[in-house]
Amino acid sequence: MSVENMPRFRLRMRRKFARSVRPQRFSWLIASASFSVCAVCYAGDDVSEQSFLQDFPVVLSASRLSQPISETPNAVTVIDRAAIKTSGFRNIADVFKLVPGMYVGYKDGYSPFVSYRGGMDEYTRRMQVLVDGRSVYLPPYNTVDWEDLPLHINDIERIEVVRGPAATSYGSNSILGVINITTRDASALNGASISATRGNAGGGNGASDAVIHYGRCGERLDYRLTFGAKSDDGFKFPASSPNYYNGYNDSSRTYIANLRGNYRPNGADSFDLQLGFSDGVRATGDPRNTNSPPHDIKNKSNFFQLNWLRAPDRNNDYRIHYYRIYRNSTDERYNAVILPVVGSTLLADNVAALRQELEFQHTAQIGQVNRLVWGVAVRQESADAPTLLKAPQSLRQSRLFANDEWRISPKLLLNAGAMLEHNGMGRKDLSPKVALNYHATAEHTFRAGVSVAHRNPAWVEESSNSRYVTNTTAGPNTLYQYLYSSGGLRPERALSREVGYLGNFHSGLSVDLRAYNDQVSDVIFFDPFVYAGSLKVPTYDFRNEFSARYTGLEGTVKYIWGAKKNNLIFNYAHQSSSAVLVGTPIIFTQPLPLAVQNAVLAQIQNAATGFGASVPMNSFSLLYSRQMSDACSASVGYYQQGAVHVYVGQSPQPLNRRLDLRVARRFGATEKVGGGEVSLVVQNALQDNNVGYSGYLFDRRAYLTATFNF
Amino acid sequence: MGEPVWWSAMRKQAGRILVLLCLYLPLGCIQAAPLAVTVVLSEHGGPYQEFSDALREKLIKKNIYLDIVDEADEVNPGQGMVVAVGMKAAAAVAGSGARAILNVLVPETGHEKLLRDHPQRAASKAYSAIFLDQPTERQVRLIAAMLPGKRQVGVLFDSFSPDELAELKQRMAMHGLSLHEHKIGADFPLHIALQHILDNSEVLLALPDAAIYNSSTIRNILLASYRSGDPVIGFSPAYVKAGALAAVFTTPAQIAEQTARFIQQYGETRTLPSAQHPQLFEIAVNEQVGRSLGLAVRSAEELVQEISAIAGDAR
Repeated sequence: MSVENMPRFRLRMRRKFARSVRPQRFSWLIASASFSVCAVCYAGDDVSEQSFLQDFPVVLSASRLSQPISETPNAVTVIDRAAIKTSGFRNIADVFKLVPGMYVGYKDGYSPFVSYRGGMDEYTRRMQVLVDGRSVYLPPYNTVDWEDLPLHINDIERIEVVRGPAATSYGSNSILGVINITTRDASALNGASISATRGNAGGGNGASDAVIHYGRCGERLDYRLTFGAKSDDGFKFPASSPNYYNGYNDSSRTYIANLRGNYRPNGADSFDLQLGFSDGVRATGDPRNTNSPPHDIKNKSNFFQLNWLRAPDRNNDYRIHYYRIYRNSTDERYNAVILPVVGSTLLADNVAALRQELEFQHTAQIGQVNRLVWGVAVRQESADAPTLLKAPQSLRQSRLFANDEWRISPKLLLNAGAMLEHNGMGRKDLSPKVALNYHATAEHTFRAGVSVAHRNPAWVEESSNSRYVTNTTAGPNTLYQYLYSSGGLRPERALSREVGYLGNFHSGLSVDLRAYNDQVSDVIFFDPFVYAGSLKVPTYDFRNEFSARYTGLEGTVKYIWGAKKNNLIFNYAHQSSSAVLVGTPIIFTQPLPLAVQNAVLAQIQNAATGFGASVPMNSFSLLYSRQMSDACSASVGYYQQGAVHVYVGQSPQPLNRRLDLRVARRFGATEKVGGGEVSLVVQNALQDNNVGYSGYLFDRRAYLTATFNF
Repeated sequence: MGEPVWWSAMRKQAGRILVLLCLYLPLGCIQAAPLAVTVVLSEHGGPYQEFSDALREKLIKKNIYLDIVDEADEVNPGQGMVVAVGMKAAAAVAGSGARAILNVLVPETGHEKLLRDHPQRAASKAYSAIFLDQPTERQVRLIAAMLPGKRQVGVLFDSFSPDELAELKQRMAMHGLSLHEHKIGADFPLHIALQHILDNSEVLLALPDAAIYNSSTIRNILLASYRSGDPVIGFSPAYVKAGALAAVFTTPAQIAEQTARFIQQYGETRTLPSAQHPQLFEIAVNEQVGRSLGLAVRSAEELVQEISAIAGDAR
């Protein structure tokens, strides 16, 4: 204030004012109201201006905001909670049928596997799979045991599937793609519900599931709990199937529990804690298999994770994330063949795996045009599997990653980043990525990208020594050598190139199209050979055997109309793959008859030439749901997968078609105490002959689910 | 011999008189006595301080004697005018003997409550207010301009009257928007009502209702809306900072500008314009949230211009 104006005003500063600092121009944003005045102020009838003037902490901080699909450097399929519900799927793995180009197979009733672009065996190990940032593919197979995850399908808020390598943003093992599951926030539930399902899956006792959800929200603390039980009799196998006897013993039972809590001591910090466990019993074995007669496998899994998110302002947040996962599988049985003198032998295929990881990540909005995510992580993992691995294994991996989203102009966006990984097996690999998104108009976006990613060998590939020494009719201490690794494997490396188009229209229509060409070199694959003294011939080693190429076109159309009452998702994928054999793969530890050599060579050659059949040429899925009234909804899902022959030992799958239906009726008030829902799901309603990966028949199934809020 | 008392008093005030003379003389000694305006603040600092600072700036070189006091102080406006800043101050001065009162930084409902509590003020032509609330039309226009593809607008309410809702519905209909409203209460706790609204709407319009929108609920409201892919339109910049897509609001400085005009009118006519919504406004946009929701985000300046042009509002 200038001196000349002073006399016109009399600023009567009372004692209270005089003590305060010199009046300054406060930003409107930094309003005087403190957070702590909150709800208490509003309890009464007092009318206050605080609603207008109070400040709030940053809720949707930089790392909470996901990139819109039109700005991601990759093709991304998003499956939200509503789509999962309306699909009527009972198993989490089945949800991925809603991803173009995704193969979902089952080794048996409780061992689903999910692989983008077909598969090479039932141990799919070429995808990164994250649940709330926790990497859940586990050693020694580096595969995901979907049924052992302490996670109920109802706990899922959203699934993002990155189609294509994305090591920069999601870490290692993402050479085919990334599955990123986000579970419901601790605050997502304020109440309790119980849900029970009965169905005729697999005949016998059918399927029986139950789940209880309970959650409470508070000003600073939210938490939710899930207790679930799931059981079914698995699949039926036709008499013609080589796995016919599996059908006798394919039942499973799983109990899970999980807890998620979120505590916010102030406006800037948020602590998210999760823990969970699962306990499952899986029936397996075949009366004809001397080393695996009918018996149970017992699986246990647990995890703990803590996430500290600090968002001091709208442009920065810092995250420290720690998790620990432990899983063990106990598979103990006596072999069926008993020598008169010695008796039967205890065989044990027990596996235990432990993973811990600590990650720091900083997300920064730099000016209006750059958004940088960078971080470091260290991972410690170990596995013990006495009848699978040469010795207990452990390693420590570390990685440094950064990705910048640079808005070169309003129309042009560049995503560039890299991950440098020390894989704990003596290798350092750089996985870079660059993608350019061009917004031709607000509705049309074009994308082009190139990326590199690596997959580290699993211990089952690098260090296996799978054998039984048992007494058989052939004699005492007979050796069955199944696997033996010679080691020294190089990581698989993927170079991916893709172009995409994204249309996002006001009418509620969105279109996602993509063409890609991926080269995967040093593909690790079974390498048959004859192990000296083994009654089992051939034994398998693992070698960097192939260079593979995947090309394809795929697309998704989503349409929402009629005040969100109608929802349509359509996915289509056309793909092809090929492989060439590289190097000289076979090790012979002893001279072999020419016929045996030729047979083993032929197996390898077949693997290379048959590679093209490992992806279905055409596949599509469709999910339409309609909210007919406040209480009633219905949906139709149709899934078609072309003929495919996922490798190793299994029969080819013919064209599979499946029509699923779901109708649901709510009663009482939605989600309120006393309210609930009854739903009926019919899978494979037209009773098409769906032959699965291992030759099982997926016949028509129906489930009735009742949910009650209390 | 001591100084005469009058001389002593004169000497003490000499500096002040001298400066007053310097200022008044160039304007002419014939000017009328300055209008005395007492500004009563509900609280010190923050937006209240911002308002009083801006008002002081606006009234520089005007023939107005401005006295800024605390709500707890004894207010003795005499024949002058009182500007009550915030509800605490407004409640305190409504019951005083002040003849002319202008309430600012108050919600519309707050002003109405004061009129109910002090019915004698209702008839006065010198009792008025500039609300914090934006006119409904302006909020509806913001949605229409910002989200041209979205037609279903959700509103949660607790204490709105049927008339207010009817007006909102009508205004929305004029812009091709449909209102989905849901009342919260014992039967429908907030999270259930919110989910219902998000299931049926494409955008959530937050309206000042402290039982719904406060610091203990805002987090879950914003997270749930974001999960549903529904943008939130708020009514203060704090919402935008927290994660709302946009908000239309009026800053204390803009209210001060309008207040200065009210004061001048009072100086000339001894009456105040009727209670009204703020004429000036700003729009804040959270571009990051907009982009993340896959929306084509327009700049705040563009939106202000468009809405002002249509509505004939002043900027």
